[in-house]
Amino acid sequence: MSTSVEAAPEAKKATGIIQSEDWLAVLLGGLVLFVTATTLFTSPARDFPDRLKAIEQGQQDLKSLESSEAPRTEETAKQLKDKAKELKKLTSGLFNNPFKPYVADVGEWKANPMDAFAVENKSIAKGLAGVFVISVVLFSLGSVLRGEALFPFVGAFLILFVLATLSYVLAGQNVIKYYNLEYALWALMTGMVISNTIGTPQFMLPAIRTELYIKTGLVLLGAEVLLSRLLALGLPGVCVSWVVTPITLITTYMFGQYVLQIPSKSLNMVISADMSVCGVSAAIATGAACRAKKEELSLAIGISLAFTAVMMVVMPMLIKSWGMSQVLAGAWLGGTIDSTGAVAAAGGMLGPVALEVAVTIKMIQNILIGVVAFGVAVYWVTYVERENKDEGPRLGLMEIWYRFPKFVLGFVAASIVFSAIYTNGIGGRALVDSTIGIGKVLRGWFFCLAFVSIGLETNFRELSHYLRDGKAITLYVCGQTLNLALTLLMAWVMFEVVFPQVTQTLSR
Amino acid sequence: MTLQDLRIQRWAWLAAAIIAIGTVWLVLLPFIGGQQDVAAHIANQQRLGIDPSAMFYTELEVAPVLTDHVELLRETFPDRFWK
Repeated sequence: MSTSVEAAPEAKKATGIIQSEDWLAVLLGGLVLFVTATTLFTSPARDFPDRLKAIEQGQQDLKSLESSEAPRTEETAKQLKDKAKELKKLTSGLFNNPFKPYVADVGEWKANPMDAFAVENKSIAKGLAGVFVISVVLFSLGSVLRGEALFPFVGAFLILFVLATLSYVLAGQNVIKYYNLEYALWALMTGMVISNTIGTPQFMLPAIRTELYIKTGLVLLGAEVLLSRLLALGLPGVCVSWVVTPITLITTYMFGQYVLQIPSKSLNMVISADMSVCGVSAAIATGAACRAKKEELSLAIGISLAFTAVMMVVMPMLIKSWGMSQVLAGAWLGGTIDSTGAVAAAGGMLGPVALEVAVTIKMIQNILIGVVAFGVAVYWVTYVERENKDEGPRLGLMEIWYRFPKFVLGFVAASIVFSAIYTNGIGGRALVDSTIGIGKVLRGWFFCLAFVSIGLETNFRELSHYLRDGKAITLYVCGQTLNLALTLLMAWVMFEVVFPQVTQTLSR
Repeated sequence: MTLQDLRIQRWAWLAAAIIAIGTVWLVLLPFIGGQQDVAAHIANQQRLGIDPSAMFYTELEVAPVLTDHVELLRETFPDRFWK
């Protein structure tokens, strides 16, 4: 059952442009973003102009507080914090969001799983029902456009959604949650428990649309890749996140190919990308771009989450014992730990400055995901697939276009459009933030549905086959070692040697 | 082994898996969560508003305040961040 993330057997039946999974994902993801953004745009808050003025004034106040060279007292720090919070509240209320009550994530719990269905003492039943309705309508539209029967899909989708909810509940247990064992792992486990015991029931098959869920989720993720945020930390941030990361990615991939001689290039690429860029989200994006097999994606995510949980706890302990500065420590954590949440957790263990720098570096690195997915897709189409098929030395432009995974274009287009809106003043920024607020929840659910689907199609034996020679883990360990060394070196050069004034400014 | 036996065996495996998962999530994990070090780690993350399971920066509730502050510093002192 070694089907690739790209080439699900059901997709091969489809021939028309709208029937291809890639274009369908672009259409469905684009539809969600378009409907959300236009609805928000046409529902500004009643006091929109007053709020706008208050935000502009608040931003000026914040700037003058920050520009003061006087030593920061506790009182100024508190003033700054309160002002920033007030501004955030004002900005988030610029547009009325009619979708907000109907879109929800499952909450966290300690000993009683039922607590997961209430967030801040409010039931999330309406939010879960809303997510189900939106998803079923969206993917039913996909089924209809592909000329498939609707009723078998809806019935099977309901069960798949229940399994995804169960996976979220497992991920919401607070020990699991606060040690960064993300829902992807439990969604895979939920699916695999069924497929490896009683077997995946035939009636579930119409809803197992791994490729469509992943690619639609990735188009939504594109809207979150805001290019202007790349400059958040100036030149040191760009160098730590955007110079070291590609070097590590390419070197690790080449090490996997030429030294370890990993038979599967796609497994090598997915592990290299999740280790050097940003964990699970990078694995999903590159896995889809290089048509990785489902088991390869599962394995890469499992390895990444296991090492992330360890690094999140061990790195702050080592940093404390070495007496490293908070800015350097934050930059090192942000550039090396795979998952964004774990970066914040590790930074938080060291102090507020380390937390701030770590999260900012990771955010800049997150934005790299678009470039990496695009680059990997182009490389795969022009080199890897040609080599595999032993084709001639050159591919025509039409052939490249024909083979190119089109969902990547939707991902990049969403990123460009929302980045442009984001730079369009306070209103544009608020509009993007509110749209992303809905998109990120739906994207999480779509990925969760995809991982349950992968689990339902995965056999334990196929997965253990990849672990037997130990090359995947060796690749991760060697790549991460290089990542740790290069990131520390670059962070030290940038924050301690070339830009010590940045360290001073951030440490005030 | 007959087809019926095989079917029973498969359902027994499923039941065993569910019991194992239930035991880990309902007994073992709450027990681990109650241990001093783990409880302190969780309480600290909650106090800081950090969700370590966030996959992307947009899922991290605390991220906008932190990154906006860094961006504000960069806008206030542009020379320091670029030269």
